[in-house]
Amino acid sequence: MSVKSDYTERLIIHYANLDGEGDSILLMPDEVKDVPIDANSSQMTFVILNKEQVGDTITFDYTTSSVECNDRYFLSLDFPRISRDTTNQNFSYFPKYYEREDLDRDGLPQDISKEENWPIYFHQGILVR
Amino acid sequence: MRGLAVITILYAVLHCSAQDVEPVRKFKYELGMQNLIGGADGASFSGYARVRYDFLQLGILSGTKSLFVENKHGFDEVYSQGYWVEPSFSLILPTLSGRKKQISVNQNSYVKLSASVGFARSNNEFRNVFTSLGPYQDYVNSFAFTNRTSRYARFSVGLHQEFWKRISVGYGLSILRTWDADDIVPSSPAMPFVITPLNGTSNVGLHIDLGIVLN
Repeated sequence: MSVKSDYTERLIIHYANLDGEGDSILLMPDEVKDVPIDANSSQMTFVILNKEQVGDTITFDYTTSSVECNDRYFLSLDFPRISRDTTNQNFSYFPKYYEREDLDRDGLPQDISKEENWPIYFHQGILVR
Repeated sequence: MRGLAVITILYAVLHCSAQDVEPVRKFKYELGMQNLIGGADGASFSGYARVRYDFLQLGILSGTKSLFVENKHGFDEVYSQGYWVEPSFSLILPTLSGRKKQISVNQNSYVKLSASVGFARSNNEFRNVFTSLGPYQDYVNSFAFTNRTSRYARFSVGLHQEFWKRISVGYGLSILRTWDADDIVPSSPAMPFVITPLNGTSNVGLHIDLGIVLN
């Protein structure tokens, strides 16, 4: 899953699967990075921190399957849901599909940053603002 | 293959007609191994037991084979394992004796025509391996198709020779016609492999027999 940051400072992302196995990556401003998803697990937790070590936790739930298309098989993450820790919101998070936070997929005005859960559609990723 | 078949038959006729023949008026038992060459997935090996009386021979042949194929039908890996059991009926061609001027069956060198029906059972696993990033292990998605039954018919012609009345050696051509009991189209991506003695695009193979005559 890709993570993109519009934040003006560097961010640290700690990621882990259900068993706590994971690593950390450094995300620079205006940078897009791929954060590994453990396809053998059903949940990933991302802790996004600024340089003061303050930040939020995002939980990504999913199921994994293999999908056939034109005699080829692709990995699919099904029923993806993202839950945000709303007690300490230092950043705003959006599905990467929504490059503009004020428009939904149908182009209608909507402030999706207020929702606790939002689906991730075709462009799976998180936009950090 | 057709040229080899013609050469085999011609050689068989010339070879056998030049022999002094003795009829086989008793049961002869034979155990051995058959190697079938010509399949796309390599040679197969089977064990057989046969009993012969005069110009007739009954036998049963059985073997097993395992395959590992990469990038097949959109799958990264395919594991297949199967076995077959094949009862057979053979006719040993009589030849003309040079000295006695009579038609008889050669005991030690003969041409054999065989027809058989094979019953095969296969277990298959189709796998897709998705490479992971970071510390995580690859995600493997697999489809298992077990106990897939199929049948085949085999017709073969070959030359056989017995040495020292104990060692039986033969070679010839086999033609296989395979069909599935489940009527699944073989070219379908979901079609598991059917393991037969002759897997491959060609249905003609060269068989080599090596056996021991027990009596």
